[in-house]
Amino acid sequence: MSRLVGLRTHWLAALGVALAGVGFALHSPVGVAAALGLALAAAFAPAPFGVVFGVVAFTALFEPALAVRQLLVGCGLLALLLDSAPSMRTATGRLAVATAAIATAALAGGYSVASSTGTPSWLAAVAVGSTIALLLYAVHRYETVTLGLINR
Amino acid sequence: MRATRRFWVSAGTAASLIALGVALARPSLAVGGLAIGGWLLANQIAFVLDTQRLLADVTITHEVTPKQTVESQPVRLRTTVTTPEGPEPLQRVSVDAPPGTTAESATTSRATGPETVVDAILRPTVTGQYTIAPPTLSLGDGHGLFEQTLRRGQETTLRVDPNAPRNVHVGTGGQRFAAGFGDHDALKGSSGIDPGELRQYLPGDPRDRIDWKATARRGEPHVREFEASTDRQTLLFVDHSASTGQGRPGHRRLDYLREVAVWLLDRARDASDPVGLVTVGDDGITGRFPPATGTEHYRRLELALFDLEPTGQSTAITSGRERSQLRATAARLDDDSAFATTLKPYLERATTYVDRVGSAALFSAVDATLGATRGDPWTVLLTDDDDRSQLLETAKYVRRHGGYCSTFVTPGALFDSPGLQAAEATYDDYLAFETFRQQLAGLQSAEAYEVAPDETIRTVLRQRPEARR
Repeated sequence: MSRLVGLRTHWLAALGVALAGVGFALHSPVGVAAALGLALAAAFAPAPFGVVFGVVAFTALFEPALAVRQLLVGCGLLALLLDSAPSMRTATGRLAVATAAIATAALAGGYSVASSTGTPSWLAAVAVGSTIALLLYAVHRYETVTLGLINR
Repeated sequence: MRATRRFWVSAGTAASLIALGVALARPSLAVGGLAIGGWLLANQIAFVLDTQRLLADVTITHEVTPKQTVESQPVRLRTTVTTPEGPEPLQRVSVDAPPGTTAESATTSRATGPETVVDAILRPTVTGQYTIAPPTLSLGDGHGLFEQTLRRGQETTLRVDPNAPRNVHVGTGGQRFAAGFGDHDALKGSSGIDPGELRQYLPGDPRDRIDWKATARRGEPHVREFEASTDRQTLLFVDHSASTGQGRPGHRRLDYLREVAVWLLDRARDASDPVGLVTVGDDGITGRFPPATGTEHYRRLELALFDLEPTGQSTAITSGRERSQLRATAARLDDDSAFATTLKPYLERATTYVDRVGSAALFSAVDATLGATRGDPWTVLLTDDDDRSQLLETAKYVRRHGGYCSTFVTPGALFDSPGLQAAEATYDDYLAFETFRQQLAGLQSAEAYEVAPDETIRTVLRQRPEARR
């Protein structure tokens, strides 16, 4: 699915790819190649896969150092993901994005706190992954109950 | 809710990123995985909320018209799903053709606007009461991550009646005749050999009639009556020439004659009378079943009656399967050899004749059959009035032969397309038929009845001068 076809409808995704591309390009000639790769992934694959490509490239090129250009890449990838999030124009979309954002932020914070307090990182990762899975299942059950789809 | 393959791929990717982040000690990878997990969660919550909103607003109509029909007649199942705030996340609406019906048009419609309509044509092939399930709504999110199918709306019902005459008028001069036709019980007292009822001994009863066992059981002298039984041989001649195909499907003259023939057969079966059947097409006898009794025999006659089709349209006695086999064989004979040229015409013929006699088929069939039958059977002719002179001659021949003749005739006037405007003209035709029927019934040892749709004959009889006043 193309994220960049129709810049008017996917302006946020285009902005995200542009930001991330600038960040990559400022790093090195290899970063230019990463920017091109990101543009292609964003154009021809669903949003999560463009983000995956970007995150992997980001990690390979920048970690552990931190700089403005890294911030650009991170913001760009976030924008790319947000473009395919539920529409913020509707009440249900805003509620969904807000709920998911709060949950994700809480999990990221928890992961960060766990890492800083010496908790094994694998344990923190398992906790984060399990919590996301639990949330997804809870929403599924909520739907099943509210729509009366339980077969007794 | 069902998670699609795309959901699982995305979730797997997120989990892989988190795992890689831990394994390689690169937190940015884990953050990326977490972000995708959050993205999935946001889309799922939005899908659930949109589904709830849609179901709260949706209006569904699900109707079948007409609600009552006859076998093989198509009905329209119209389903309208209205979503005032747009179709998302509704993707498709589909309806199910219940078992026993075939759908002759699309049963699924894509949701592209605030109103989605499924206009399905169903053709019921089995008689009965159908319950048509509510429509199925297929929902999905815009990224193809989640799907949901739901049944919403009311179920609807459809009643399918058999495509056969339901109200058969059998009578004379527009009057239905009373039940009891064909009864011939011989309860004539104590002669005969079939054991009858027990009754108390009365002075004058012969002593050898006393049933000693019954007397011992009851403490008083009892005698057993014996009944004489008669076996009346019945011969049904059913005309299924092309002219009996007149009328709308399922209500042709032949369909009415068949109803009467089956009814006569039932009565003969109840009395265990021997019954024979001769089916007559345009060119002669198409089937001949000598008089006999027994469940198997009655069943065979019944099947033969049900298989009858007007000649010129389809095979009479040859079954549908045999016909198709014959045609398939004929199709294989595509060379010009003497064998193929000689055999092909026989295989291609839709009708098989036992005895081809040409013109005056009914008369010839009666002649040939009565000539080969011992005794004086009750001869029943079931035919139409297209060749009245032949029918009259046939009835006279039966009388000369010494048998009793009952004739059931479907008047052509009552099987033309009905119409109130034409009712007056039809009444005149019916009067002419009635004159003929009376002539037929006036023969010695003969009776004649009209067989027609009850509603048609009522409509026509309203044209009588006394009825108009």
